[in-house]
Amino acid sequence: MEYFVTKFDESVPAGAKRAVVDDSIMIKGSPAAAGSKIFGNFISPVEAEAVRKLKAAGIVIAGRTLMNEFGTNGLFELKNSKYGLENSLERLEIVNSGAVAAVAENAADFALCNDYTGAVSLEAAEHGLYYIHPTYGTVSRYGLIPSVQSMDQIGVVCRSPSEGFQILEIISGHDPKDGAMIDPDCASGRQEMENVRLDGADIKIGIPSNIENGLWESATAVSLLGFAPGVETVDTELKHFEYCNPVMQILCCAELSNNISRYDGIKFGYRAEGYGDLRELYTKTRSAFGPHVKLAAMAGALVLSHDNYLKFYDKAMRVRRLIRDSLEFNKYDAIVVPTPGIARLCGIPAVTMPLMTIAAAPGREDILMAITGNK
Amino acid sequence: MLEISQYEAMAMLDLQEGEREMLAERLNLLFEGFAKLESADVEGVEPLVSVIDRYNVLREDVAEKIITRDELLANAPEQYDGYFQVPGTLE
Repeated sequence: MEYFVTKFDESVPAGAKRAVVDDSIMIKGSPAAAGSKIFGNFISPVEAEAVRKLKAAGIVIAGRTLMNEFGTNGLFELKNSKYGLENSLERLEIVNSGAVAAVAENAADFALCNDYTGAVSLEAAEHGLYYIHPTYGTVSRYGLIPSVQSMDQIGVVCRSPSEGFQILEIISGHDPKDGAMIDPDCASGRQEMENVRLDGADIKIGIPSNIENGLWESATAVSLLGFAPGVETVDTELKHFEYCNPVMQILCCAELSNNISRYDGIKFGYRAEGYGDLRELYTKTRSAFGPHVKLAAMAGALVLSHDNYLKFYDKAMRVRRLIRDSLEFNKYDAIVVPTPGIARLCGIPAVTMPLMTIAAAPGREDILMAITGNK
Repeated sequence: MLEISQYEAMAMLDLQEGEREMLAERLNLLFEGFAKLESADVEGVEPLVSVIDRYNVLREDVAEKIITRDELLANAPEQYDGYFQVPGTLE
């Protein structure tokens, strides 16, 4: 498949890694559009902090990759979710992740993208790849086109977890240009990834027994992956899981609709032709959004409107806390989760791999690396 | 059933015939799904606004030049004499 939006023909020095970044991550002087026509001929005036760090580490940026408009794939149809399917909407203009395809087809060694729904993670796993979603606030979002700020976080599509964690080390770190980052001095900040090793350590992985779909595969995978030395599985329960999908949809639609209000055809990006007055300029310009984004814009307006705010948006934020607080990281170090979206809702790190997603406590990427990276 | 035109206007959209019906159907389905939250008991649970329970990050109140006027206007669809150009807004 075609996966580049822009391909850079830079020579790759021997031993250098090649990265691609998705269309929402800015490279100074190059277009960036988050997969949307609304950006018109927009050229990035700044360099994303993550890109700056990659370049400083000698990594070659091979190109920018196709993505679904504002990353909405999977939002209205959460794969691998029993509860999502009831609600599923047929696929409307879904674009497969160019980031995943580029890594799968060896056009790059790894990719950076903002997978706030978890759909790219699942696509990566389908291709035998891994997706590392860091703790919320680990990687600077400066230069990332915002979709859903309370979940936006740059992650890594990679061929092996150990390679992915190496990249995470390069791109992570406090940046004053992003106002919602883990403070480097904070106790719940990210742990040094060298600290936990499987040998001799006892790592407990929770397996939720109340979730049926797909998890039996995960449980089998945990035992098959040769975790025996030092790994113990713990039966647990994932409470409030039935609310994950509506909470995700309500919050994502609310934040998306708020975010895309800036695309009005005035300050940057696309402007429609043939408008009479200012209002027509707005509405005709915004016709450039695709169906998913239009749906999110209207659903967002709905849940944020006066009559519905408490019933939906406020309630979703409360249930989000219920879901996050129901994770019992005092009983296990990591937990197999039925859909990567849970990690986004809770702001916790997760590795999605073929057959399963494992999430850990905030800042505990070290546990995930121990489980997946040191085999 | 929701009346879609209300939300269409709030979202500053101008849907085409056909598209409006398709999205109305989907918005209604989505809305039905949202209703599942009614059964959640959130008595005494505060909203989770941010997953980082942190204070605001502030910087010194010193002016910084992040982007020049010309760089900013370079992405504007229409500009005139160093300003964004819009259709007339006064009668």
